[in-house]
Amino acid sequence: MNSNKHTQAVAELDSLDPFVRVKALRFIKNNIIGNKTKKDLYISLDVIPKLVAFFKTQEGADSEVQIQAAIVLGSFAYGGEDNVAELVKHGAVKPLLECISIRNDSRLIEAAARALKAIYKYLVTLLNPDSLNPKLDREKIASVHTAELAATIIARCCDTNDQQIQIASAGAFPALVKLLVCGYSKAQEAALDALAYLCRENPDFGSKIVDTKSESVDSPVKIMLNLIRDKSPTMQLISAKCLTHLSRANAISEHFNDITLIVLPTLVKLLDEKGPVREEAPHVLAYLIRDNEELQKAACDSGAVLKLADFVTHVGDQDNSYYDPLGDSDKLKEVVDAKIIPHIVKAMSHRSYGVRAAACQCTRSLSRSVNILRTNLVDAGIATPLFKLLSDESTDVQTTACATICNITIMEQGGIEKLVELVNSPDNTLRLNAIWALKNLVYHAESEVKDSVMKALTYQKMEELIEDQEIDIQEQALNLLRNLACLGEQRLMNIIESKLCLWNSEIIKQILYVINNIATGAEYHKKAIMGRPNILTHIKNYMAHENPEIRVAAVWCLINLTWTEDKNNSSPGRVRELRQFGFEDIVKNMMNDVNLDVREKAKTALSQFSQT
Amino acid sequence: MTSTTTNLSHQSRKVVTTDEWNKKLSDVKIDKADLNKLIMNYFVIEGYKDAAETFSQECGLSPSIDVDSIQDRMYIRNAIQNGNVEEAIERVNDLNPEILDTNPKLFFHLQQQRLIEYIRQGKIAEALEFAQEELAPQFLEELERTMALLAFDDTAVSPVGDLLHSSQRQRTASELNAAILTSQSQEKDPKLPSMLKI
Repeated sequence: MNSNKHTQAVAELDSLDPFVRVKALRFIKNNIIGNKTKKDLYISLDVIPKLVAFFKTQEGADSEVQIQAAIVLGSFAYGGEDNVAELVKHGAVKPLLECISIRNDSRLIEAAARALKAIYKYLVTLLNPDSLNPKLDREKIASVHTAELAATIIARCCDTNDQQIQIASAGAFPALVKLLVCGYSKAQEAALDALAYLCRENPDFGSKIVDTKSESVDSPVKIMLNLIRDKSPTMQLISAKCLTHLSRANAISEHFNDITLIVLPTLVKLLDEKGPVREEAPHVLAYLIRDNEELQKAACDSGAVLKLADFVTHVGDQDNSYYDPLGDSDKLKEVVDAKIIPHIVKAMSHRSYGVRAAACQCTRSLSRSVNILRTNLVDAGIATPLFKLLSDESTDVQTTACATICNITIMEQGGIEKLVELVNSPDNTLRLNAIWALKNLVYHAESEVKDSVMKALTYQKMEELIEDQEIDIQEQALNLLRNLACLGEQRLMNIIESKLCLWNSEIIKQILYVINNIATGAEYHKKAIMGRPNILTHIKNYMAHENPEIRVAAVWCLINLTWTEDKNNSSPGRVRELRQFGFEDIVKNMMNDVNLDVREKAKTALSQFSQT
Repeated sequence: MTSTTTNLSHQSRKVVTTDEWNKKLSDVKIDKADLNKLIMNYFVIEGYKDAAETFSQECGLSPSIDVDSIQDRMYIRNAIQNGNVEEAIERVNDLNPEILDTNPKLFFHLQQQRLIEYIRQGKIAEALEFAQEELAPQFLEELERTMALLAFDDTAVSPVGDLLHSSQRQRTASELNAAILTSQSQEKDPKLPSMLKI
């Protein structure tokens, strides 16, 4: 084949002149339309990525170039399965979808919609296992497998209403409903999944699916209600999901009894499963009962709350190891949306220790999340049962309760005394959590709160904690100290001085912030630091520390020490002393620091030097 | 014809005499507007753009579709009838790129027509190259018949000479015209001739 003119056309696509590009695109278009061999030729010349790239430059994009490119992409899709796979591989679907979702040139929308139609149409054709004309048994199985893949892809392509419309108009409903009764469980699951996503939040499509006629005597809903009784948990889950989506789309209101008596209990039962089913079941359940009091009540009656509490525990534990935290907080949000928090709080006073522990673990996971959630927990009256659990007979429950308090920080009802008591516990985890809770409690707190914490804890205990064998406890103790912004007692200064020599950068950072908090205090606080040349030397050294956070903390110390609130104080004197110490030159050098934060703080510090 | 009821098991079937039929026929009032619509339908589908425009002015009836789309179809039809098949293909691809991607037979007929035009012009080398590059052996019999044109010195008397007749161009043009109309959700046959056949 004389392919010179074709390679030339492909090369011309790189031209910067839109006129040349359009000409090349039109040439390609008129060559490939109707001609499978030419389509393959151009795909082998790697033209698809170039076409896709035309859609990436949003600004200054020539709409005629995009129109012609969309037409060419669409024509490729008519070349069959392999071509569609190539298009998908090179990410052609997304830019085409964007063309139809953004307000655009109507001709561009038309061209993009046509191209998508061609792509989806091919997928929908594949949903029918007979489309590949299978003759041998082996071929028949392979074609069902292809149909399953097509359904899986479709399920992933229904993110927006536009996408749903595109796929539905390609004739997906009858093909998917037919696939529901094909007898191959994987293909049936994929079909259910695709149907579920096609009707998600789409009442119109929900009723279209329900009304889809098939060769089977049973209606689509009847088929789904049969599949939900399948022995495979995956099949049960996906059937439940599909029915849930139909129910949320108001398409099966006459089946309300089936939802309450079959779908809901199935979902609750699936919470006991393992792996992916266990992970997805709560999503579906939350979606099913959202904003529906009757179903929420039914869910609680069927023991969903305790299972969910256990579930959140499970997720929470894994959260520490490998779970995507974002996904986790999504799940937490669903729990709130499902309005089950009051039930969880109630379960915290359950007579069985296991339930108390689970409920507490659950609230702990919830309390890790955003503020709204914490407020939610407090509103649900979590405080009383939680403090009761601090003296629970089981150490497990105590530990978890304490950890929850860490996140919620409630100080009423003798919480502080209780926490301080736990600080003396021999159990390391419990001690750590208790200090952690105290730390959160005094963060930005009123000075009475700080006073009462310090009074209950005592300086001696604080010193002990800072010298604790556990490095974690040391760190949290210093953190607590930092938040307390303690008075400049000599004993604390000694602690600080000794701690500044340590190697652990987390400890150093905490210590530097303790110094900072002291340096923001009254004049005599600042004097206490100025009177400690060792501390000042350490601060100076840490300004060259490899960790930028430590450099920032060290510069902060300097800023606080040179801070002038009124002209009569002794800050000019301190500035002179610090200058003699060589701080000013170091700060000047820090203006070239690689870290922006460090540079900015250095700038602030330097301006305070220059003021005096 | 006399009226008789022969089948007693059924209710008597009504039989209409010729006189009655003619009387009934003359009683039927054919609305002038309906007639006009039929005529307009014929003009539009057959692509008589000027006639459609003049007729619409005369009887105050607007054509059922955009007259410009008639223009497009006529341009394409004329291109084929003048032997400019390539131009017709480009035009139809601009109009709707799906038509030729979804009608393999029509696409073949257009390519076949291009081949015929090369042969008509005596461009044998181009014809061979074109056939090699563009014509997939999908419709083998028709392809072979066309290629047979190359075998005869005097194609006019050959058994495949009909391919060079203007009727062949017309057939191709009509097939394409019908496909365009279908793609525009228009009927592809005018109503008037089929009514006359009744």
